[in-house]
Amino acid sequence: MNNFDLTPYVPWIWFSFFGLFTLIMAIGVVFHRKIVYNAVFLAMSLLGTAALYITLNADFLGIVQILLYLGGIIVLVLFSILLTRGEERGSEYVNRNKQNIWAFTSILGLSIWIGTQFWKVQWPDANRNLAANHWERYSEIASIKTLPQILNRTVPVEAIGDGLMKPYLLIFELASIVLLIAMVGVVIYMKPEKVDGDV
Amino acid sequence: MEMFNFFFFLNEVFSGEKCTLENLGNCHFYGPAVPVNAYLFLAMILFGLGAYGVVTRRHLISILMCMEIMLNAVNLMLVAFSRQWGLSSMRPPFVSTGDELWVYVPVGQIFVIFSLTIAVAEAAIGLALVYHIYKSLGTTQADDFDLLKG
Repeated sequence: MNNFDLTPYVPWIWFSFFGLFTLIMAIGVVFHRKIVYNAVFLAMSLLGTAALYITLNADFLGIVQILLYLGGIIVLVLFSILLTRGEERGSEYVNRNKQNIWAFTSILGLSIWIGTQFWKVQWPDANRNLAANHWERYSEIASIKTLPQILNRTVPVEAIGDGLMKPYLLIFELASIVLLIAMVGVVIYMKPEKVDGDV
Repeated sequence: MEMFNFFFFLNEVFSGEKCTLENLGNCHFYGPAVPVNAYLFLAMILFGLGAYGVVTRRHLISILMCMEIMLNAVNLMLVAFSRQWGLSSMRPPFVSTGDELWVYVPVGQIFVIFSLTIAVAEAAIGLALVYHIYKSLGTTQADDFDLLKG
């Protein structure tokens, strides 16, 4: 007990904890029949996913995930639930075609099989080789001065901003246009229809 | 950015080792990092769960929530690949040649930001559709929408 060192297993402990949390909450979303509980389970699952982002050195995305999903989408979902207010019917109505059995065997079995196939893949450690190659040659460039920081710690927000503003600027603008069109479309769609006599 | 980084704060407190270029494989916050395969396995199971929910659930908002789980699984996969392959994308497209050609671009995380944008738009439009359907038909069960049935 004295010489037992827990340090090499600590990333596995974080990953197992947050992964199991996310998975159990997703199971709650899929299998629980009450829809408000589903929304709360979904919020917890998204929170676990944000923690998994942080374990993957993507702290900024974790924060963005919490802000966007837990602050925006969950509120939208809860408002929609309260506005529509219809509970789901019982399982005898849903399962009349043995639909869940076939869905389980096809989709979930297939995904578990693909996931187990991922375990056999030996990914080359591209980051380490490229760091060894490029650190000597390109360390004078200003934007790559943060290379050890990138590799060891978190991905800096400046790198994400550089990527959004320099190479993927076109996709960034297109995404913003898509978001604008979606918002305007929702507003036009939800506008109450004009009755005769109204101004 | 350091203020968000409580894992590495804990790392320096407990192990006291600094990460350098020499011990790259061992410097993810306490020891060797969890391999990307574990994250891919988890993301595949999450995606399958979401797809199963989309097929079997009958309430429209439940179907939308299961779609959110699927989107999250794909985002998790992108972030995992970004950790493994982030530096391999040294040459960004759509830029002129020059020194800026060799800039670090975490492509997976940038794609996750785009994916988040699309997910937000999808949620807004989907929930507006659900509310509109509820106002016009009076139900939110997917089996009740049989207007086109012969």
